[in-house]
Order: sequence, then structure tokens, then C-alpha cells
Amino acid sequence: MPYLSELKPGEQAIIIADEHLPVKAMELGLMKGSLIRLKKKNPKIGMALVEINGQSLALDYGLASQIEVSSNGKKENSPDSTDR
Amino acid sequence: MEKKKTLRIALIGNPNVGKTTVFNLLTGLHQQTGNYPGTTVVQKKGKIKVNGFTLELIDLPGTESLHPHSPDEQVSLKEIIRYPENIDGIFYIADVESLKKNLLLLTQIMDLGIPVIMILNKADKLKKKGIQIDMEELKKTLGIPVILYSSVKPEGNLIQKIKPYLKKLNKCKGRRIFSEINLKEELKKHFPAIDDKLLNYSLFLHYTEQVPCSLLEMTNHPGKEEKKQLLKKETVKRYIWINKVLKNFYTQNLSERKDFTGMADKILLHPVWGYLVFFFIMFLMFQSIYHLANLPMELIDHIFGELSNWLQHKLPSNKLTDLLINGVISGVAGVLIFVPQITLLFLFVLLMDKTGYMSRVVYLTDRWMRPFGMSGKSLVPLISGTACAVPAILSTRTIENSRQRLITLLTVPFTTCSARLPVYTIIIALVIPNKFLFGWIGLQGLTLFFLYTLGFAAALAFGALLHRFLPGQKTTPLLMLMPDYQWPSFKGLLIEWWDKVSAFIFGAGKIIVLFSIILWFLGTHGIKDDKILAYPVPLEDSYLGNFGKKIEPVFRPLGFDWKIDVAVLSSFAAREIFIGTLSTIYSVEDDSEKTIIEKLRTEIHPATGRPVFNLATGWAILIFYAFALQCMSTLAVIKQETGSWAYTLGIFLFMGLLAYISAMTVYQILK
Repeated sequence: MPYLSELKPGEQAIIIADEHLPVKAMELGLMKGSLIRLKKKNPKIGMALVEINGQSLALDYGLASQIEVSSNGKKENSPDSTDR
Repeated sequence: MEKKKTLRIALIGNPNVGKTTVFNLLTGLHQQTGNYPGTTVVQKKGKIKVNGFTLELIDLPGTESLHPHSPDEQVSLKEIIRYPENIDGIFYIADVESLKKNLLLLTQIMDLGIPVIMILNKADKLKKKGIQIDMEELKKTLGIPVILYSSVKPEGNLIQKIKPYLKKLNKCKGRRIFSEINLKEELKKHFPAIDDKLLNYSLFLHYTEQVPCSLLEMTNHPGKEEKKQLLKKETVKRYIWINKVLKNFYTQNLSERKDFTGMADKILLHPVWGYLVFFFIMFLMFQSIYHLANLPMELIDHIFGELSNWLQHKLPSNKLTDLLINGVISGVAGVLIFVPQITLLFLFVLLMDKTGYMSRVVYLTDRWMRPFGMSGKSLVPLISGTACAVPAILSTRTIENSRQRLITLLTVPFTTCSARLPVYTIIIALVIPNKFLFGWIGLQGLTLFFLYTLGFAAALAFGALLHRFLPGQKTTPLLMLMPDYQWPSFKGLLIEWWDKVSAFIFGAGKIIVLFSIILWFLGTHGIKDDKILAYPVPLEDSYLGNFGKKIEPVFRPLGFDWKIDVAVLSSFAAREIFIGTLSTIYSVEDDSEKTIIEKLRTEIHPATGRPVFNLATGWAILIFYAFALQCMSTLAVIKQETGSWAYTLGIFLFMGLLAYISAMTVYQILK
């Protein structure tokens, strides 16, 4: 399975594992089953910008490299599938 | 509650939902801002009268949930959990864009059984973001009143919209989902002996957040890992419920949204352009502070000069007139003259924060702050420190990692606060020529920019030093919401700006005026051979003069004469007193109608025959003030936040020693 940091900017995916994520990340919506879109990644700056629940979230690139996502991303207009 | 005339209401919400703006709109200027202005790192309170009720509003720091991750988030938990009897209700501020996330904290609050009125803010963004909300369904689902509102483009009076619900506030308790989502079952596993009726969300919070309560005496609090798993379970269960109900009242058509923020971020978060824009904004800020403020400053100086002359001619020549002109008026002038510069500085910092640009600065700088033991979030206190170190140190409470927070709060005093600005302004005007490089870069503005850069560089260097020696967890990965760019509400901006400017005028101002009066007394009275000298005493024979001469050898290697020594020592409580002291000393000594800058410029050192304020002495003073920690309030807040005298005295001595050695080196090179 790819990691969030491996997506291309604009690509969407579903988070498939949240065991390693801190509680705060989950409170912000980063959890198993959430639809996430990578907006921007700047490995040189060490940051990634994602969209989750309609909001932009900046996260450490190292953290983005630990978030496992589904390989088949959805199109932008797909409904959020965070039900589980 | 219906009979209660005073209602204590807490404003709670996630960060960046416009909570403080709503608070400002509700209370206007009728608020107690705590000790210092700034973002909500301390409680802000305000009182308003509505329909026979007095509402005591408390603006609490933004938090994602009732499980705090940083010291500022603990404020909300403490207020709600430890003292629930103190709160009659909650105004829950949410925003239309992040409603799903906002519902997490709201369901926690509703589970506590506290009456809630929800103010759904940023209604102006509904169309832009392609969002549709079925308000009736939302109210029905939550069981509380919901008011759709825009604090940036308000339509109608918010108070009028809230008014109908105040009389029946205790009926606005909303839906409790604690049992619905099986959290009760989870709690039962840990408390099998406790009666089912007592298993509620309040107990869950007391248990997980280690808040003492009588029921918990029979059990241990969870360990770190157990707590983490419990909180994760709670979060997941709540989000499952939220997802289930959200589709009944919330839809968003992403193809309809206009993404100005995304377009702007292509430049502002670009690894090259982003930094260039940031440095340009900083450069522009310091050039503006110097050049735009010049004219009003000269005007204020002129008005007070004229006022002094007028009073000198109109009032009888006696001790009281002397005190009024050379003690009180020179002190007030010493405060007001810097208001134009401080106004501009606060406006820039506020605009960066309120427009959403500050978050972009955090994004760009997080990685570069790591070698200095800090994170991107440290940059906000460091930039806020250019206004005042005290709120900046308090704002470090938003940093989750305790080590990064400690390093940040100890480095903040190095940044150039507004109290240093009066010293820099006068000394730069005295020793740096008013010339322009390439026809547009002012040398004086450039010097000011250098001094601010020096402050930041010193802060980073000190951070790196602490990073090397301090123990503790070195980093916490950054995780931060990026708000959309927005133009802040003019009224809200005005209220926050006045908050900060008035803190300078009435906070620092009264100290400066008081010191001016004391210094006037010490400069016009004296004792010689055990005999009290007749008023007015020549400055050299005054208490002030004698004291200055005694300590002159200590500061001689820095090029300071005894008058500068007196000003330096008197400003150990607060830096801004330096100029007020010089102003009083020279007013006492020189009765001519010259302005303070003219008096300082023409002062000749009796030993060298050269101007006292020459390039070498001027730079020595600038460097001394760049590093010395001369601010009682800053020291007090460092003690409060670290709880340690060792850190407080350590930083004071370190900065003092650094200031002395650096100023001496600069003077010896340039003299």
C-alpha cells in the first residue's frame, strides 16, 4: 500500500491505517476510512498540505510518510467515505 | 436559572472559527483583557446587558476537543470540568466550512449537560464553498438553538438573535450521545462496581484527564498508552456518529467552490517565492514603521514642545510648574511620541495573524526552526515578541512539545519588542545619517531592520545552544490547520488593535510617567556634606548626579557617561524608561526651548570634547539594548510559565552579560 507522501498533488485516497497516528491527528479527521487529498508536498521544506473534511491541514512530511492510504484514489467530487 | 439575572457564559470552539471576533463583536470595548492583549492564551472577559440579563462572557482558547494537547487547551478543560458550577451556558462557535470537525467538541460539551447555543459562523462562505446546510434538520439533530452568522459580514445584531434563547437557556442542553455511541460501555469496563447512573461523560473526562473526583478514589488513572487508546476510541465513535447524521443536513458541491486560497498558496507556500514574499513583507514592515511614523512623531514632539513653552510663560515660575513641565509633561510626551510606530507594528502583526498569513509562515519555517530546538509554531511567539514579549511568551502555550515550548519562551526576550523601539528610534536619529541607498532604501530604516534581524538571530543562536544541552523529547511532528485567507472584520481588527495600543499607553505609560516624576525629584534635589541643598540643585550635585558618577567606571568601557548610566539603570524595570529618563535629565539641566533630540545632539562630553552621542556610543547603546533583558513583566511571566527561578535568573544574567560584553566590543572597535 502506498503512503500519503507518495501521492501526487491533487490525488485523493482513503486512509487505511491509523494505529501510528497521534490522538490530535484523529481529532482533526485523520483516521482510518477518511478521504484525504494531497494538495501540496514540499519534501525540501519538510511539509505536506492535505485537504480533509473540506479543510486544509499542514503536516510534517515525516508524518505523511507514515500514513498508509489506499492505492486507488477517487475523483475529487466523490463523497467522503469516512463511515466505518 | 430563569430567575437568575447574571449569566456566566463561556465562548468555546475550535481554533480559527472566528471565536475571538465574535467575542469582540458581542462585547465591543466592554471587556477586561486580562493582563496583556493578544490571541486567546489567557481568558478575556466582557460584560453586556441584554433584556434585563447581565451576560458575563469568557473567551476561552480554541481547542479541538476536551482532551488538551497543549497548555492553552487545558484552560477550557479546567474551566468546564473543575468548575462547572461557574458556567451557566456555552456559546459554541463553529464555522460552516469545518462543521464536521466542529461537531466533535460540541458533542463532548453536550454530553456534559451544559446548556449550549451554537453560533455557526462564516455564513458568507456558504456560496463560495458550495455548501448547503439544512438548518432545521441541524437544530433537530443536535437539540440546541443554532444561529447562522458571519462575523466578517454581519447581517443584523447577534445579540438580538441570541436574546430569545436566554430566558430558556437551561432547556438548551442538547442531545447526549454518550450512551448512544457505547462510550458508557467502555467506561463500565474500568468501573464495574460503580452504579450505572453515575457512569457519565464527566466521569470519563475526570478519569482520562486525571482530574481528581470522589468517585475516582477507588481506581487508578489510566497509563499513557491506555489513555491514548481510550481517547482514540472516543474520537472514532464520535466521528462515526457525526458522519451518520451529517449527511442529513450538510452537503457540499466541490465543483462550485472558488479556491482563492489554493491559488495564493501556490506562491506563498512556494519553496523559493514563499520565502522571498515573507522577507519582503518583513522588510516592508520595518521600513514603514520608520518612515510612515516619522511625520506624526514629529508632530507630537512639536505639540508637547509648544505646550511646555506655553505653560512656562503662563504659569508662575516655581517648583510645581517645574514638576508639571519637566516631570509630568516630558513623561507623557515620552509615551505618546512612540504611539505612531507602535500602531503600525501592531497593525502589521495583527494583519498577518487575522488574514491567515501567519499559518503560512509556520508552514515555511517549521523545518528551519528544528535545528534551533523549536518548531514552526515558535515563529508566531517570536514575531509577536516584536510587539511585546509578555503575550508572546504566553502564546507559547500553543506549542505541544514542552521542550520546544521552553526553548521558545526563553528565546522570545531576544526579539525586538516595542519597548526597545523608542530607544532605537532616538539613538538611530542621533547617530545614523538620514540618507538613502539607491535613492529608496533609507539608512535609518535599514539600521532598524538590522537590529530586528539581530534580535531574531540572537534568539535562534540561543535556541541552538539550549537545544544542545536541554533534556527532553526533541520534536513533535507539526500538525496544523491552515485557515483560508480572509480579510478580517474592520471592527474586530480595531478592537484588538486598541487592546494592544492601550496596553502600551496605559500599562507602560503610567510606569514611564511615574519614573519621570521620581527622576525629576532626584534630579532637582540633593544633599552635600550632610546638608540638604536648596532647590533647584544643579544636576551634577543632585541625588541622580551623585549616583550616576559613582557607577560611571562600570560603564566607561562602553562609552557611556554618567547621565547615560542613570538612564540605563533606571530602565532596568522597563526599557522604555531610558528615553524618558534622558528626556527628564536634559530637561532638568537645560531650560532652553530645544526638542529632546536637539538637546542630545548638542551634548558634549567634557573629557573628550566630542559629542556624547557619537557613532561608537550610539551603536554601543543600540547593541546593549538589543541584548539586555530589562523588563520586569517579562521576567515575571518567565517565572510564571517555567515555574523556575533558575531559568528566570539564568536568562536575566546571561542576557545582561551578553549585552555588556557586546556593547563594550562594539564601542572599542568604533571609538
